[in-house]
Amino acid sequence: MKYDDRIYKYLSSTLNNSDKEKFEKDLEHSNELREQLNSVKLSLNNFVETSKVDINDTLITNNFIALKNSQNSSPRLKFKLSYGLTVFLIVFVSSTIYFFNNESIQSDIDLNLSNIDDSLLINWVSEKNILETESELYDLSITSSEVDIFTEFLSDPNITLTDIELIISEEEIQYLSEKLKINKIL
Amino acid sequence: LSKGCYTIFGWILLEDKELVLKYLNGDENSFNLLARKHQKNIYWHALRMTGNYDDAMEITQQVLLLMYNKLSTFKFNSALSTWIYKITHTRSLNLLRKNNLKRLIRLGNEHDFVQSDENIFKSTEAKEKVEIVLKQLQKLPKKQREVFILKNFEDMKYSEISEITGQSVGALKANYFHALKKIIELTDEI
Repeated sequence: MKYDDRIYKYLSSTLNNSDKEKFEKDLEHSNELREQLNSVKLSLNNFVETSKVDINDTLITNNFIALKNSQNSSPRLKFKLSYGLTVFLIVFVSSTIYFFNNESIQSDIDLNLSNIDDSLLINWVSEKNILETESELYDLSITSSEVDIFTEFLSDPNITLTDIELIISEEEIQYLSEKLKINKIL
Repeated sequence: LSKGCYTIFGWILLEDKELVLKYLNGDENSFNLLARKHQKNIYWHALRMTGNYDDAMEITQQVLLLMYNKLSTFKFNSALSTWIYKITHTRSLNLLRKNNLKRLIRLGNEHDFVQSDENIFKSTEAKEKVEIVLKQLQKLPKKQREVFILKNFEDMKYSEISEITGQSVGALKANYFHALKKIIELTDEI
């Protein structure tokens, strides 16, 4: 069924005040419009209600208890992440230089590793340190788990430059280059 | 009525806060109560976002573990549930991105839709019902899906969704308009 687009705009609050008033007036006078609105509301309600089913929540709890008990028995995690981060940084910088295989550009790179924010490194190397403060929750453009993803792929010995280009988006290169102070290459 | 609602809402907030404080003072049982209270919401949000039972379960465990380790950093500047949704949301997006990356470089870990045998549902009928909803939700682009889920399944206002997703209210409204239109069209086709 083809519904009046204004119904969706009305329900999503995207109508401006005058259009909203006009729509509400039309609703009073048009049975068809009223029926359409009710039909959309009913479909939406049915859709939402369909997924309200009971789940076995003890399964979640039991899994979590097992996970909680085992979390202190994984000393390899930090080493693995540190190793992964090192590989990631080496491969990232090398691939960036290789990608921009041009001496004039390379000479412009102002790479100063001392400028790397320590807190960023802490966030990168430890999954458990991903959220040190509540405010960090609101600034998660790249999280440690995403860096884990990169390291997972970049530590693959068979990875190609094309693969790396697929993994690191322009936005991510921008973010990392800002953190690494190599703005001039972009 | 509004005073009553405020009192009830205030009581719920206080309950979370009391449990957190008790947990931080060494009462492990308070954390178990918090976990039981929020785990379903975490699971459902992750499931609707990822469309995959295993992923949802993994995210739920991650979020609960993060709560367990990091509740001391929560300062109650927002509701605990908002904090939890934000973490769940970020984790879900990360996992979706990870699956997309895997698919891109063909490591053979395709994001198979709802193939788990995990018996999280109490009946086959319940599972089938949920699968219908999940299939439709996965047809929405990510931004449309997130606003649709938070608005309809979590009953959040645009301002609250904005706090979680970081999108402006205007962008959320526009995304919700498209999501709503698409979902209604899809449900009409069934």
